[in-house]
Amino acid sequence: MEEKLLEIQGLRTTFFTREGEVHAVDGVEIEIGPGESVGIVGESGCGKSMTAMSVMGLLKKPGKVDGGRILFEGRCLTDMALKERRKILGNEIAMIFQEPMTSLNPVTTVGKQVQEALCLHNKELDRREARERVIQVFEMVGIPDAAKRYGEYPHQLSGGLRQRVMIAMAMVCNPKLLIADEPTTALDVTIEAQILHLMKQLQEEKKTAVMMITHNLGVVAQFCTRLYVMYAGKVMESGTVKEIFKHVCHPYTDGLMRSVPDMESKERLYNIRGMVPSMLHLPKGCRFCPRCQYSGPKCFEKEPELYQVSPGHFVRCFLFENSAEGGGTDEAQVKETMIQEREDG
Amino acid sequence: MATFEQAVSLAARLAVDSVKDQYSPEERLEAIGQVEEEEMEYMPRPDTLRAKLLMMCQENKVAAASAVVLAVMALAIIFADKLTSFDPNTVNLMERLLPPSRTHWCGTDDLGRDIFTRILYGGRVSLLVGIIPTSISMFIGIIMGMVSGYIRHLDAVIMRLADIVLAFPSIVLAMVVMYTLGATTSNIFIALSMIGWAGTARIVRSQTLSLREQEFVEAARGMGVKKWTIMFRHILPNCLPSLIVLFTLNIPDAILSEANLSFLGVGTQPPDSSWGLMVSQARTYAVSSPWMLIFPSLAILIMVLALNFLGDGLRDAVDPHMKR
Amino acid sequence: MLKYIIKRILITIPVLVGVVFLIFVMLSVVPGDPLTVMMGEKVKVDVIERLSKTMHLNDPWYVQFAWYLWNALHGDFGTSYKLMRSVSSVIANAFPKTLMLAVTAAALSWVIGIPAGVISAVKKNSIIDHLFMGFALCGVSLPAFSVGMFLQNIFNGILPVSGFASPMHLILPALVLGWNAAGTIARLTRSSLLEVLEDDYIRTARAKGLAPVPVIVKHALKNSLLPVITMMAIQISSLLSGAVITETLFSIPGIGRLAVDAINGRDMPLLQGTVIFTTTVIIVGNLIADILYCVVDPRIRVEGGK
Repeated sequence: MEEKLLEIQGLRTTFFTREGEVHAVDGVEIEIGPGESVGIVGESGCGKSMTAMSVMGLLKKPGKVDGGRILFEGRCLTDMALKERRKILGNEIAMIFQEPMTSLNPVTTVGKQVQEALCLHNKELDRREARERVIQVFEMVGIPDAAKRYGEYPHQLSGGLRQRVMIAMAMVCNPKLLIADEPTTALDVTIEAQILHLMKQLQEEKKTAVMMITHNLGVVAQFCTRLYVMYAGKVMESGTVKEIFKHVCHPYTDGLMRSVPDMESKERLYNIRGMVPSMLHLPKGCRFCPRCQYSGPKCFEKEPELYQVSPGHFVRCFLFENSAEGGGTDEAQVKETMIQEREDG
Repeated sequence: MATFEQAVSLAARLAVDSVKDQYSPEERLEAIGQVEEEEMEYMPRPDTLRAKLLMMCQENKVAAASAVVLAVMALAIIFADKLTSFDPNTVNLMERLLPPSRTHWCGTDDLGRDIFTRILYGGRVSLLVGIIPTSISMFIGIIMGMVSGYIRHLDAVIMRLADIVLAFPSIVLAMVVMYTLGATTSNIFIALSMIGWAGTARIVRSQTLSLREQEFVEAARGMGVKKWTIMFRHILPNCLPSLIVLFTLNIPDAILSEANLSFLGVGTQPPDSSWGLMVSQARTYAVSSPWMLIFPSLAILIMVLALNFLGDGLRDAVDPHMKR
Repeated sequence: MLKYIIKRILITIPVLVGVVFLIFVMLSVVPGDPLTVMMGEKVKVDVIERLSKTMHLNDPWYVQFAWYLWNALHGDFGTSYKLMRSVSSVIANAFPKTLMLAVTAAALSWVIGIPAGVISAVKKNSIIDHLFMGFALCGVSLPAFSVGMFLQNIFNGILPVSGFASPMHLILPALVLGWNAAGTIARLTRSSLLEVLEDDYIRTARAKGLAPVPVIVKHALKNSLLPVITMMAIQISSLLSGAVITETLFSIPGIGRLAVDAINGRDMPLLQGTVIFTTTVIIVGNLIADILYCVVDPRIRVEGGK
């Protein structure tokens, strides 16, 4: 197997709040290969953004990474001196944020802001060359009138254009990894499609690996090859998008999938009952068990591990405990029981 | 939109809370499922004014301590005659300019009067000057501000009036008013009220302007509720948190203004005493008898500082983005 | 933006007239015959009549007001009763002193206040933050004359404590005014910077790999100083309008001192003149503050959208 670009090993991010310690990310393992696009999916507050922030080292107080390692091309980001780490930031790892409206500095022209990222990591560039490069990148991300837009302020641009500027800022140094934190959530549906199309195109052209954080399974299906499903700070299921969409294993993933509206179906839209638990008062045992339709006594007692159901496809659920050991329970059989129970319930 | 969403999530939270105690876990889950929403971070945050104030007392030790200091000072000033055996105005030339001692805790002044006693009694003027004109000016300011923000054709007139008042350096305007009316304590109240309302009016106006566009006010308007009822029942209660902060922060301003007026000779008149007057009377003796200067200054500093700390704490707790 | 500025300038005109009117009315209800104040008790009848006529004292108040306004527009605020010189020349004489004091104090407050505010915000809740903010709050919580008297006490014999003869005379009064102004500036800078540091674009700047210091200097400071600039303009105009207390305490013959002297001497035209002058300075200062805000903030300066 080829070398991994990003390896997150047992990452734990803790918020030291007044009410107690909150493990927003709790032992997460994620791997991303070069040029790969990986989706991270979950409800709000499941720790997916905090995982990204931990990778970037942008956690706000009182948050802190207090366990695990983050390896980027074999270099450990968490042990690295801050100065070294900043050389990677924006250069080899770049990030796009959710809020294009507020993520740009309102008193500086957008061109200058992108140029700043470029010049910071390419000190040898003089001002004119840098300006030309920025305008090129603007054109690449599909900003019309790039030269004119260079001198404009963020408030003069629409939301879609601002997100394109953010992408330009992220792509200007040709990063190896792009972290996109819900890049299209704040945008109109039509703009969303355009931006996703642009990102896909850039990813293929530049061979950039993308870590796509989203709660939208449609985006994942369109964009990603592999998928991690997170719940309450833990990875619940991981595998290739194809595999997971074909054989949903974890009841939570299953719930997420059935919550997506389907035009053809006449049924009432499914929703997962209950809500994301307070991270301060996590249930004992499996974190999802209070909301799970299939939870048995064991689930309330003990936390399941990640079990491999097929090569590369892992599930954190006791239903699949035996399949890990090489086929006590047949996967199809489990599915059948699931379906059966669903029809009964 | 924001308040509507808040209302919905609040309702959801209340529903959850009310269900909590009565039902079994399974039933509770069912109930929760029904009020489920897209975003459901269950983080208990204090919403009511009282809860916010309580939280401030727990977290902001400085503000809490300031409140205690203020209470102690107020009590000492109110019960001044119980705390000291001296009379504030009895001249005793045998004991003039004595340094602090066991009998005269803060020393005596040029006429042999006990300074500690005079600080306690003088505090009455400062306390009244802090509270009365501030209350009057806030009252006028609230009415003017709400009218200006809600009844649009009066807006320009009221705001120009406020502009005129705010254009004066406040000490100069107060000076002129005191000169016109004559220097008495009640005229200090009038002068400071005349000046203070304009700032309050501006803040209340801007809050009214944003509140009147919100759904609950529009709903009330749609139901045909009268203007004045909307202003007093719907808009005023929503301004209340900032008004409390404003009140706390306006009191020290009034106290300082009185001190300045007294220094200029158009404020409190001898033989009455106020802290500002005591400091200015110390002017000639400041070098030889520094206690005459130090103790009244300290009294002003502690009271004003405590009020400012309290006001800042209240603002952080209640309305962090408030501009003043 | 130009439209806004023109509108803003037009609004100041009724305010100015209102100010003149208010002062005029307030001072005309004060009992006492101006001519007695001016000339003393023993004046010939024909002199009184002649003067009454030239000063329009026999006309109804609104005619007097119109005359006053008309003359004021020409820079004529009448003649001081006590000094027997034209009010405008007295003011012109006093203003440079106030100007020097104001500029020194303002400079002092910016040089101290802004860095103190920035350091406090960056080192939020540290000892140095508490120290700076305590010092700043003391500056706004002590009456100016108290501070001034303490300074006069401490520096008695080291620095001149009264009068206005050399730049050295400026030091103490400028410290008194500067401490207060610096306190306000430092507190505003701190709260404004803290607010800005929470903004999303600061995260963006950090995500570029920018080090903490450039993040603050290049991104946060520029945004957080917008309200501070407005405050600075307002402050300097209020300093220019004369520091009544400080000038009185340090015997500086500036505008503020003039107003106090006019009150004590019942010198009506001089009082009217100084008050109108100081108010005009403040109105113009606030106008400049508003325009300045428009100019420095591109969100207002450059029209948005397509």
